[in-house]
Amino acid sequence: MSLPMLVMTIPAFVGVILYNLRRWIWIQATLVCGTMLLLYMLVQQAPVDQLVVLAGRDMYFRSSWEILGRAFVLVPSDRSLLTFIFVSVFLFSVSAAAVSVTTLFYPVVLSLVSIIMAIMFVHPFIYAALFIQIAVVACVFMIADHIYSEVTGALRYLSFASIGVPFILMAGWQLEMYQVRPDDNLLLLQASWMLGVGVLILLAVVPFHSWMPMVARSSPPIVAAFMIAVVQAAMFFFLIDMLVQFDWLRSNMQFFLGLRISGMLMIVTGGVFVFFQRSFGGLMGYSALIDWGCTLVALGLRSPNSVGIAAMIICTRVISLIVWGIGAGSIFDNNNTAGDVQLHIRRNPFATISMIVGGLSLAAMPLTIGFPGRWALLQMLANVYPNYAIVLLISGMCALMGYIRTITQMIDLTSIIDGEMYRTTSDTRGTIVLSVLLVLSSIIFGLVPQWLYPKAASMFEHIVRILA
Amino acid sequence: MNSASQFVEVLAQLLSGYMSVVAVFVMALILVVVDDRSLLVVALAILYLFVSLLFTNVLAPQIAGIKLIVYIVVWIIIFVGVQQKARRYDNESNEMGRLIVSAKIRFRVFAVIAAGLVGWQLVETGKLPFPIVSEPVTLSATQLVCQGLMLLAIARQPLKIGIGILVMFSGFGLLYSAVEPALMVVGMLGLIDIAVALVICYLELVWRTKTNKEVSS
Repeated sequence: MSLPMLVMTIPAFVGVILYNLRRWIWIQATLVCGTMLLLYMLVQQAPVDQLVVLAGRDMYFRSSWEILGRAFVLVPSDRSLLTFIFVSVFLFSVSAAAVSVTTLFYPVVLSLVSIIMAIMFVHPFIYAALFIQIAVVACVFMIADHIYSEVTGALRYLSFASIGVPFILMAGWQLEMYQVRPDDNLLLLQASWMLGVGVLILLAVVPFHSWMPMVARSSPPIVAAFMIAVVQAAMFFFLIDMLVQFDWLRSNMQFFLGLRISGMLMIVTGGVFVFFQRSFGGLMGYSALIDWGCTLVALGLRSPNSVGIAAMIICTRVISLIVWGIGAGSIFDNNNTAGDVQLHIRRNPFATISMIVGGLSLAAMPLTIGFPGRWALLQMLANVYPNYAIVLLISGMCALMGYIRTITQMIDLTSIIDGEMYRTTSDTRGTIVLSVLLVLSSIIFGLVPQWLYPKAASMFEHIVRILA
Repeated sequence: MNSASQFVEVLAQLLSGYMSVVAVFVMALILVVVDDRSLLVVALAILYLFVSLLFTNVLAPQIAGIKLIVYIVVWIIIFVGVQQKARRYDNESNEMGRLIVSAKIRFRVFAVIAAGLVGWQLVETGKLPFPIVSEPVTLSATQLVCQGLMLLAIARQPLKIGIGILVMFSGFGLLYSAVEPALMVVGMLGLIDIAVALVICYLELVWRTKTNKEVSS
């Protein structure tokens, strides 16, 4: 039996079942979580390319799956990346059960897990571009529905991704040509450019970033959080895969310079726009843009330590966004007026605190989980590129000030301190438990980041080994 | 059977030359300029017909046939999505009903011509990173990509943006099929076209729900 085939088909199959169970949220959440646990066990425990006896039967898990002349190969370095995906989907599924999401969220999430695995496994890599386009199309189904009917973010996302994918396909063709004419370095140069442009468009680099705040404003918060934290991380893993696979790309210093500049553009743009945001969705979108900019800058520094920091930022972003999503998801319904939001904030203090902590964590406030990664990057930048460090610092301050201004405008902080409010809360028990747990974990990991760092860094240890 | 295939071959040879370039440009112009959905669907059908004929220059006829089938499926999906009560997006008088042409139309025509010139120049200066199979194919492909991008840039409605993506992909498909004619790639690109058509119909319905809600409130 082929392990890639098994792990790719299980979520797709369960996704089809879930589609027929759309009314029962908790059953959907349970099935998704169960599937993620099963996939985690399979990916981590299944012995690959060796004969084992399972329940009295001989089993042989192959590491590759050939179909129509193309191969899906599970390499050891994929395991840690897949673990990140499975754990993130597990956490998002539990959180989404407690808040409002679009109808197709769970089935689409499972199909996305299958597609993300296809992106990671497929050889040659140009087919990954085609799977990326399919993933983008699938995402649109969960961004908007008849309740969350603002479609501009979804359309923008679809448009930008559709512009990016052809560049990656063209890069694949240039590389094929290079294999035929290995002395023609112009082909490699063109391939680097096209691959860079394609991946950067997919990673929402300025000016292709506008979908991020749009989706953050108009989609269910947990869906927007999922898109920004997990789907974008899958795109980033694709970039890492490219760097691992192609020596010429790794040794191209201009490519890394491009990553740094793109990252800084995201940081600057995010910092400028986050300051003027009047909604928590907009604040989240632009804070996430700054955070993704930091990730690109960290990778662009091209050192083993900076890649570890990039991994840390990606992991902490997931937790920050889940904390934000569970809070914002409880507070925001579709088409809320400012008055409604303030009423919900007064009635749901636990969710409010969760939203504030998640948002501040995304803006890298000290004592939250988002801070250690940002601080490490700042220290590293201060040594190598002090100007970048200053810009990042100012941008981070803008995000924090934006949050503080919106919090003071929207939330009566004296009532948050008032104990009576917590006794008469409208928060559901699930929301309260999840909020408390997530906020605590966010603060604990912010205080003791060394608990998280080794696990996060192990995601990219294959590229760290190559770069070292 | 034999005579039918001969007829198709002759027809393809006749129509897949510069006539296709003109047809593609005119249909793209209609797609960008016009807002009437029934016209959009007709223009898309004609555009896809000529694109399928152009594919016979770069792919084996059987694989070009697969492309044609994919385009028929895509067109049916779009057609079904369009068969709703509202034929036009808004009540603005932006059509050429009277002799006065609105600023919106004038701007769009100008934009189409500008995009067309860019596409033409890309072929003329030889800056494309693709091999030129035949000039009509490359010219049509660049026109499709440029007009598709133009639609993405100026349209706001899901249907028109979706058509923009589909048009852009058809142009890219023409260029890419010349360098990667593998059946798997053609199949995957076809699958993507169908998926995009489905998602566009979905977004169009969602968008219409929203606009209906706004009108009723």
